This record gives sequence, C-alpha cells and structure tokens, in this order.
Amino acid sequence: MPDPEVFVDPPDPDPVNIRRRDHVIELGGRFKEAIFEKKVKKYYFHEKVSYGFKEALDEENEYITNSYGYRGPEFKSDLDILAIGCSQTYGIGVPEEGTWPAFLAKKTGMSYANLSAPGASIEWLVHSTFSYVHEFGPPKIIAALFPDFFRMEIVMNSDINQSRTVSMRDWNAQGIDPSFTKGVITSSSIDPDLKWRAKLSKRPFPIEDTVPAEEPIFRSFKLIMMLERYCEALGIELLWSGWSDDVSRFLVEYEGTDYYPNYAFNCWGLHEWESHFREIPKTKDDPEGIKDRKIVHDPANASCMLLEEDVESSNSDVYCTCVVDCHSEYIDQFSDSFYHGTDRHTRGLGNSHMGVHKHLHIADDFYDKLVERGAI
Amino acid sequence: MDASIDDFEASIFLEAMNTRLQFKSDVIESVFSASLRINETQGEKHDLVNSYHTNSYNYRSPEFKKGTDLLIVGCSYTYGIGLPYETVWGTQLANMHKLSYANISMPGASVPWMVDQVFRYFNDFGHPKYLTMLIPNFHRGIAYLDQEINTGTKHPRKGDYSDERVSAASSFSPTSLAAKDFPKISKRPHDAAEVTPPQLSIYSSFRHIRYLESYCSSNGINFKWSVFEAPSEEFANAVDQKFPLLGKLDLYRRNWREEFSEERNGFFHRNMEDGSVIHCCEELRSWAGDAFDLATDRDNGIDRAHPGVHSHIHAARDFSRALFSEG
Repeated sequence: MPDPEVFVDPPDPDPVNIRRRDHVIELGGRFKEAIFEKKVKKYYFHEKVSYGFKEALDEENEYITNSYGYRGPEFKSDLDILAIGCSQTYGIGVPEEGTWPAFLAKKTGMSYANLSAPGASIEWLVHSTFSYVHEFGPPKIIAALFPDFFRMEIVMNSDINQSRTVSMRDWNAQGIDPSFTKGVITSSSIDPDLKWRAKLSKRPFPIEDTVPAEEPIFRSFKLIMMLERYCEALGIELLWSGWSDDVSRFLVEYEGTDYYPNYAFNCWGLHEWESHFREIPKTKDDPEGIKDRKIVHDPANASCMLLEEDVESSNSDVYCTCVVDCHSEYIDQFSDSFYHGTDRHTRGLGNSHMGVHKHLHIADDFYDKLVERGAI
Repeated sequence: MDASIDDFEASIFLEAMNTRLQFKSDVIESVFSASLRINETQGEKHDLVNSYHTNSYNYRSPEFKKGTDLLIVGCSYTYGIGLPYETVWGTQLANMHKLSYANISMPGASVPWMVDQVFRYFNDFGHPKYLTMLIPNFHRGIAYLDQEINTGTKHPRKGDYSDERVSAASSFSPTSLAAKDFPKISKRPHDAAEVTPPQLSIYSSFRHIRYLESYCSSNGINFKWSVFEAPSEEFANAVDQKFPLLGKLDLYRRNWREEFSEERNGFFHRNMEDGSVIHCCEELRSWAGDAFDLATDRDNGIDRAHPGVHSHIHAARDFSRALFSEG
C-alpha cells in the first residue's frame, strides 16, 4: 500500500482566499490549480503509487506515458483521433497496442492520442477534452467510451465530507486520481440503492449517503450535451458510447433520436461480454478461479482449453468456454490478454478490465460508424 | 450496482440532454410572489413600479433570433429585478453600441445553470459576436434533489434560496463557508447545503466558466465575465496577475452591496472606501426615476433589495470598456 503521506499536498506558499459574508475559504495547493489552470492537467501516478499500481494491479504490462502522464503518443496539434475514456480505454491489463484507440488509429491510418484516465468520471473527461482542444486545437475526431454514469467529481473538505467508498489507501481499487485527493476527486461512485444509505450521518458526511444517484447522472448528461455542442461548432466528429450495460440498455431506446445524435453504437455491456469468459477453472491454489492464466485457445473448435497438466491438477471440472469466432488472428500476439485484462489476478474475474478482443470490437464499431458518417 | 439506470425516470436524462432554452417559470413566479409583490393584471406582471414584459421564451428580453450581436446572461441583477427594463445594464450596453441583443438572465441562476443555458442558446440561435456574463457569486450550484435523500437548504438566509426553489435546474447556496457551522449529525433527507462543502460550487462554477471560455475562444466569440459580489481584493488580484487569460474587469473590485449601501434619507448613494459619498451620474437620476439608488424591490426589506440603476450604469460602462477597448 502506498504511504498515505504521498497524498499530502505541500502547503501552498501563496494561497488565495475567497470570502463571502465574513466567511473565508482558502484556495491552496492543487485545489487552486484545479480552479485556475486552463491547460490539460498533467496526469500522473505518484512514484510510490505507480510502484503499487504495477505490482498490485498488473505486473504483466508496461505502461509508458507521454509527457503529460497519459498513456500513448504525445499530444499534438492537428491530431486525427482523440480517444477519451476511463481505465478501460487507458487499457489497464492490455498492452498499449491492444487498446481500442490504437486499433482504430491503425485501421484508419490516422494519428491518435489517448486522454483516458483510470477512474475518470464523465465530468472529468469532458473537462479534459475542453482543455485539450483549448491547448492543442481541435482534433478531427473525438471518440469517447464513457464509464458508467454514477461517477462524479466531488470536492472533498475533510471537515465536512468524505467518501465512504474511496479511501486514500484504496486508491487503486477505486481509481481515484491521487494528485487530487486533497481537493477534488475525479470519481466517486454514487450507489443508487437507497438501502445502503444511513438515516443518520455524522460529519464528515459520506457523499454516497447524502447525494442522490441522479446527481452524477444528471451532470454527466448535461456535460455530454455541452461536448456535443462544442464539437458541432468546431466541426469535430464526435462519437461516444459507454461500456456500462446499464447505460447501454437505457440509451438503446433512444438510439437514432435527436436526444443523442452522436451516440455511436450500443456497446454490448461488459458484463454480458464477460459472461463468455467467466468459467475459468478453479484449482486448489486458486479457488476463485481468477489467477489462472494458462488458457490456450483452440481455433479448431473456437473454444478455450486448459493445458493438460492443469486439468489434472484441477479440483473442478469447470472449463473455460470462451466463445471466440472472430479476431483469432490476434490470439498469438496478445496471448492471455486477448481474453481478459491481466489485472484479473488482483481484481477478480468480474472486476478485471476487458481484454484485447473486446477492444478490437470497440475499434471496429467506431470504425464502422465513422465510415457510415463519411468521416473517413 | 444492484440498482440500474433503468430505475430512474428517463425524464431526468432527457431533460439533461435537452438543448432547448429553458426558463424556470416556477422560480420566477416564486421570486415575484415572495420578494416583489408582483401583481398580474391583464396578462402583464408588474411590481409596485415596474412592468415585466417577457418574450415567448419567458425571458425579459427581445425575442431571440439568429444573428444577434450580443448575448447577456446573469442572475436577478441582470434580469433587472426592481428596475425599468431600459435601465438594466445589458440593455444600456446594447443601446450604447447599437447592438441587437438577447438577455437570458434568470433570477437565482448559478454559474453552471447560466453556462448550460448559453450552450442551449448557441444550439438554437447560433453564436453572438459578444457574450457578457455577470456572475452573482461562486457559491450557487445546481443540485439534484431527491426528496428521500436530500433537500434544499432549510436555513435560508436573506437572499438565499429556500427549499421549494431548489431543483435539478435551480441553485442553492451553502449556508455558510465555515466548517464549524455545519451540523455534526444530519438526518435523511439531508439538507443539501449542510452536507456539501462550499468548495464544490466554487469548483463547479470555475469549471463551467472554463467550458465557456474555451468554447468562445475556439469560436471567435468575444466573451467577458465578471462577478458583482466581489470575492475579495486578493482574489481579484490573483485572477488578474496570475491567470491573465481570465476575463479582466474592474468589476472585480466593486462590491456593489457595500459601495452602494449607505443609507441616507432613505436612499442610497455610492459610498467609496474612504467613507465619502460620491455623487456621479447625477444627470441620469431623473432618467432612472425612483430606482436610481436602489431597485424598487426594497419595499421587501432594504438588504434584500437589488442595487439600483446607478450600479447598472457603471456595469454597462465597465463591460463596454472590456469588450471594445482592448483592440
């Protein structure tokens, strides 16, 4: 676990006070930066945190970041494709060349940058996109794969509120942005289930108890609307979708209506997708069935099989039944991460990030939509 | 998540994605009835002195049309509560430069609300050449209220918004900025202002100003904004010196409520920092009528009243200088 000290901002030598009716609050540290800074925010995992990230979350992939701390190519003007999203688009658990933005760029022969950040909320992403356009000028295409709509940006004031699901020590599980922990967090997931909410809350008030789940949803849609308007004015081809099956199920009813003109495609919900990969064999060493990475693919019968020795050592007769009837040419290149993000050994199968195969489908879907619109 | 997005009414999302201009008529009705003693006769609203003509979108503005020069946005101050229409700073500014204009101000508006509405205006009526926004303060925000979970503030201070005016599309102000004033225990439904740090609305306000600045600079719109409830001299200096891309206006240094709030013979005169009362713009006193010093909503309580025409004259001049004198 990272040392909690890494989250403590140094005192701001030059804070700015804002007053109202005799009350003063100090804008200092990164909070001041968050308010005043116009440029794309440098995104980084703290040295100690990034060590934890690699060791705890995914030891198999390299995460090479550009000078702004984002994964993938350097940001630049005259960009073709700007991809935005959360950890799924960041590509946790898959190599960089196995992410959907990379596939989309390769397929279209265009340049790309990836403005994704693990744990990002739609709010954070829209803000980053505005900053990007302001700093580097408009890209030709913005392709967004949004996370669920229950995340929101929240300002933390340790005297008044806290997050019950996001603790500083649990940063990697919840995907908060450690550079903002003292002031603003990019993602706090508000559970819509009323039964989890306490009737009485004690200060500092848990935001999940005191904020309705409609709030982040409402804000997210409003910001998508702004982004659509912005892109339209600048002639940017905007396509967006979301991996959350909750959102997909809702939006599919409105597909093709004026409400969501740039909703690109129904991104088959990840849960549904993952169900094809769920049955990883359980062994004595791995009763949850999440650690085993010795999955091989047999193109002949389009299913996943175990290596023989594992079958023998297994105490279960559950076999992997991945359905792979496409993209099998990528299996050799990406091996294990073709099926699942390689973070499943710590996140658990249900929580691991999607594998390269899903990335390929998302890239294909974006590609098809761009062709349909005559954008490429 | 056990519950899914399906559990919510679709209207929430559809409303959030609505790109049409929207005036919360329930808000204005409530403001009118509570603080203005508005009467309605023959389809026309008026307070004791002024009439309020609205366009087909319910805004106190000329009809909206494409190709308009100047878009004005603000809260009740810019709406012109308690003032004759022609004396409101936006109208003055437009007339000063012979610009066609639209005013999409709404009493009670927060920055996120205003920015949202500006985007909607762009969507319907295209880009204006000039955009001016006068922000009341950074402490209002849009809050979604679910009666099972949270409510609007139960402690309305003078000038704050009471429960029934708080909605997905209105605004709320924190009761206080001091953490010690927040209760130790809160019971569901929680008072939104009691469980939300004031920094949230400040942060959200600035983010939305950013969206608009970025949009305007990318689209060649001359955009100036200011705040009439001056956050502090220090804040103004910080904005001017360290973040020069922000709209720079002398208005920052004005605190209308204080500068215009010395009572004398029942009227208000501009009161400078050294305590002296400055008489300027006297030639316009008769034009402004009874509302020169203080808006006519003062019959509802002096400290609830909006600043008078005198402050609007200066606001119009300051915006004019900011828009047109920087090359």
